[in-house]
Amino acid sequence: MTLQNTGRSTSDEQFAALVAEHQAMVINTCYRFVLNREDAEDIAQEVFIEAYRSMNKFRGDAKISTWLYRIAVTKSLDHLRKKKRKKRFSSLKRLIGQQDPIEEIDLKAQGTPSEELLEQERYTALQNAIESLPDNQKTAFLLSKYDGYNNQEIAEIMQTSVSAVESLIHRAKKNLQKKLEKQYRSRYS
Amino acid sequence: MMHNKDTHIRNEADKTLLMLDDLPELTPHHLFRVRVMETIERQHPVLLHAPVMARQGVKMALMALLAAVNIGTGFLIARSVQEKPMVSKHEVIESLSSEYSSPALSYFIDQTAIDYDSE
Repeated sequence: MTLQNTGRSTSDEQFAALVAEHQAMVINTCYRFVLNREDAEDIAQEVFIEAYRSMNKFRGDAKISTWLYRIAVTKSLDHLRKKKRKKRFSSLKRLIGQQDPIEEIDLKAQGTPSEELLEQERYTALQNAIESLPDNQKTAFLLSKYDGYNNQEIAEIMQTSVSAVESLIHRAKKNLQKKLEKQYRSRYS
Repeated sequence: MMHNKDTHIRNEADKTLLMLDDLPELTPHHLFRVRVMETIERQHPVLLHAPVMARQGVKMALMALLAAVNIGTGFLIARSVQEKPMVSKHEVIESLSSEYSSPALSYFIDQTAIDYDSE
């Protein structure tokens, strides 16, 4: 699908059709990074607004979907960085006796309250471990966890080779395993 | 005992990693696309309406050009009228008399000029 400025209503209609075609993929891509539905939809909105703003910069050297998902990854990583800075600031606030509301991850209510709490703790541990990864490992690993992408598509989004993607995924898994074990070891000791 | 603890920790880590595989597939909110287009319209009204405004801009430009031509022509006419000097009544009469006073143009013969002696 190519976007052309053929007139006001035509380009609006084309863009609206683009949103309809890719909104699910974009939202779910963002969701893999932020693990929160509301945040994922907010980021997805920003992705499409950025795409609209930069339409004239799109050179057509990649598929429009690849270009969109690249923006989604960038915006998601930006969100995680902002969240990290906010967390640091929150811990400073806690030192002086001020609390920020706890951000809860979306979880389907299942099992007993203690099981739900355990699930919540696992998600928090997972979030912390993922956030500590370098951006390229984080991106390759999280995109690989979403069925919508194969390694070739991930390589196109990250503008790298398939072998580089495979190596990044392998390293990310090893690092995550190490970090999670470290977290649980300190919890159970 | 230590071995059991290590195994337990490893299992917990594995279970935690598997959670990513069980994440639900989100369905976009039915108003998601509408909200996106509304936000774009709010933030970029010029971009969305650029072709319409371009047409109106052409009309305004043509009208401005027409007005400029009319005003310019008016100034030129007024200036040329001002540049011509005002001629006095005396000068007009003098000029007319010098132009029309030759004997060749007279309607009648000047009687005083007739030589009666020749008769």
